[in-house]
Amino acid sequence: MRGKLDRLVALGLFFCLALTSYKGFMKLPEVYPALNPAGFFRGLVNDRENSLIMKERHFDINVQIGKALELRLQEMKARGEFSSGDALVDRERAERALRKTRARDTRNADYVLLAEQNLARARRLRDEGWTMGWSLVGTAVCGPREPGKAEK
Amino acid sequence: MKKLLLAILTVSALAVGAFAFWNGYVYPPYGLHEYSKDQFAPAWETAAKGFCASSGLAFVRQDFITFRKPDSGDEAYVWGVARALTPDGRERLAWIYLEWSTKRRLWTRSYTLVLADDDDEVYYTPTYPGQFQRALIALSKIMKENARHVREYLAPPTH
Repeated sequence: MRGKLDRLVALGLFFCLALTSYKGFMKLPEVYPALNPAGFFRGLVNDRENSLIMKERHFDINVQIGKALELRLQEMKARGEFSSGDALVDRERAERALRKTRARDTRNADYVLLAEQNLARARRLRDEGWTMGWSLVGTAVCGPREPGKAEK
Repeated sequence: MKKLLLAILTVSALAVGAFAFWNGYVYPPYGLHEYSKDQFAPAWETAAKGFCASSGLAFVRQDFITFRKPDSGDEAYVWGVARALTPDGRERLAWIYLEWSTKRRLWTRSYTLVLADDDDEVYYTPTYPGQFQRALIALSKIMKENARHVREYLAPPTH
């Protein structure tokens, strides 16, 4: 009885190990785009598209935080308030927050641009049918990154 | 004594688990089940009005709304800002962000808040408030948001 259970557990563990190995093998950058190119490129492009949408959203919320801060500053000036009851919000801190938010806008715009470039790159790799190749010594052949600047 | 302690622990773990499940599964699509992926505008408006009502704000209008979906997948996102008024006539902007759940095939509330609210982190400076006060504010924000979820769930539908 005991031996049977042991064998069952060992079999279960072996199955888990085999499954993990298979899953890991199929995710190797050499293997995935070669054996399942459609799945690989769908995942790659989808990931980049969702990232771009996320960066756009992060840009938008920061712009809107700036607008909300402007609203509160106007409101404090119109009502002649230096603190709106709560100690955390006063004119000085609101102005400082507005400056920080505007600085962040610049950075967030760059992040949107980077995400666009990453998406364009993923689409280019998909259209070129990029694979990592199997060579152990040479560098991967994935086409020149910029025209006229081919890698050696 | 040990049994009692174990019983109290079990009950509180179950309560916290049930509340987390309710907050993460039941509440997010509440009142949005009927809207398809393309009906993002009415879904967004329902969520915005529900948010304003449960936050003690009067919904005025929609400032803007953005709908995005990738070409290569089933995901969809809609976000926007609602203009609202506090009871004493101060204008506030409310950020309303919904995500399309690809697994459940319905719109879910993802991130909703009043922008630049009285307890917002945007006003923090490196020295103020202190670490303990920051932790207190963060905890109070979580508890307020939980209470707001319950209020929104129990309130009559806004549409």
